[in-house]
Amino acid sequence: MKNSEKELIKLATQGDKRAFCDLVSMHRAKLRSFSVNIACGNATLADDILQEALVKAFISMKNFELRGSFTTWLWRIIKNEFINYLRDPSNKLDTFSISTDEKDIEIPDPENSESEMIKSDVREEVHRLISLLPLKLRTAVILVDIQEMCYEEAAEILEISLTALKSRVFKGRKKLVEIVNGNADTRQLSADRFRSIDDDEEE
Amino acid sequence: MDCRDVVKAIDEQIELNESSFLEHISSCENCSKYYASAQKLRALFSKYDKTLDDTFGDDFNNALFIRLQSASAPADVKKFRPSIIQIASALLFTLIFSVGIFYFSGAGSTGSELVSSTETELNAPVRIVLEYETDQDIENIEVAFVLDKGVRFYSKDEKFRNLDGFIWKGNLKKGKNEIPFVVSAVEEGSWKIVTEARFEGMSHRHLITFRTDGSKVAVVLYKLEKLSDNI
Repeated sequence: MKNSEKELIKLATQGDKRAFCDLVSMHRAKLRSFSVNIACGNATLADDILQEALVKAFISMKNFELRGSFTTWLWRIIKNEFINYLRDPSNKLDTFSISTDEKDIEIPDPENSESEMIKSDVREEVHRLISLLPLKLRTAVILVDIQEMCYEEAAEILEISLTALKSRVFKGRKKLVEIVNGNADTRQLSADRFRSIDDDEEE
Repeated sequence: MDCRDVVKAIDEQIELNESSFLEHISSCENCSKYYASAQKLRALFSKYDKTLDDTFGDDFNNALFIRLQSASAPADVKKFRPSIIQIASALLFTLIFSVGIFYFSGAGSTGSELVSSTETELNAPVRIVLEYETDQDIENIEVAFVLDKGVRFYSKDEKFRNLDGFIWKGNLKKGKNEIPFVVSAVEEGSWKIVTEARFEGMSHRHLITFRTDGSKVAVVLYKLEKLSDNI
């Protein structure tokens, strides 16, 4: 952990709100990326939940132990905030209208990166695909395949065993490949994403 | 390798250069298609530009800073309980204050209702346990404590003793839940503590009064009026 980060953590623990904001700034890009991904591209919802999670993190700063990773700790709080949000059946991710027509699932050619348009197409398609996954599989795939986090850290954030994490990642990939392949029942998947997270398949 | 082994190898992204794998892919149309889709997906993820998400910078920081203004100072929730257990044996009195968060006994009651009372000494610790009984798990409940200056949290930590207010945040499990805290009257006079449990706009308040008479302190617990019909 960098010294400046340690210093900011110490100040934030003592109630220094500006220090906490500076601390968040150091990790803001990754945290927001993670949030936007869980929210399947709904940036407004992602920002709102992220800010709520950060306020909770500030209040709980004294529970953070310096020997641990600050970002892992924050990620866990953010993940829990999303889970709490999505546990409420009245809360839904207002992201895309998911087409149930297989012909509409088109992957842009990622090899062609000539323009920003392609980049945004890639982003939109990634969000559209992961939005079809139940939350448990989605968070696992986001952390490992999109955030490119190591399995150990991702398992720590999700507070599950390494075996359970791998199981979720592999299941998630399989579902995504089947969608790309045109073999998935997208109607069922579209319904699955709104299931309670507690109903997700067991590892 | 059969189709099952091949699909498993693709899902787990294990080394895919084995000759048996390549042979199977070249001869099996389904697996070949599955492999092509997996490669397409991997390429899509690898082209995903994560940095694009951070396009708002200072606006986010400012919004967070404003939001933090209404947040309470960092509280050591984990250490709060052990400190109570540590001093519990030294306590002279324990008051247990039991309420049902969803159901009031005597629904529709108004005004305040005396629940319990006891007597203690000036500067002596009084352990008060708020008991909340619910008929279902409740998440993200807040219990706020507001203290007059003559009554303080009983703690070795000066920072904690100086608090005029504290917000406990947590979850309640179905059944009985205890939220203990320890306070003491530190000055002569009449003082009060108000507690308020909040959950999704609903509110449940209690009043604890401290009245000194020489070195003696009379402590009385009241349940205040119901604030929401939804409770």
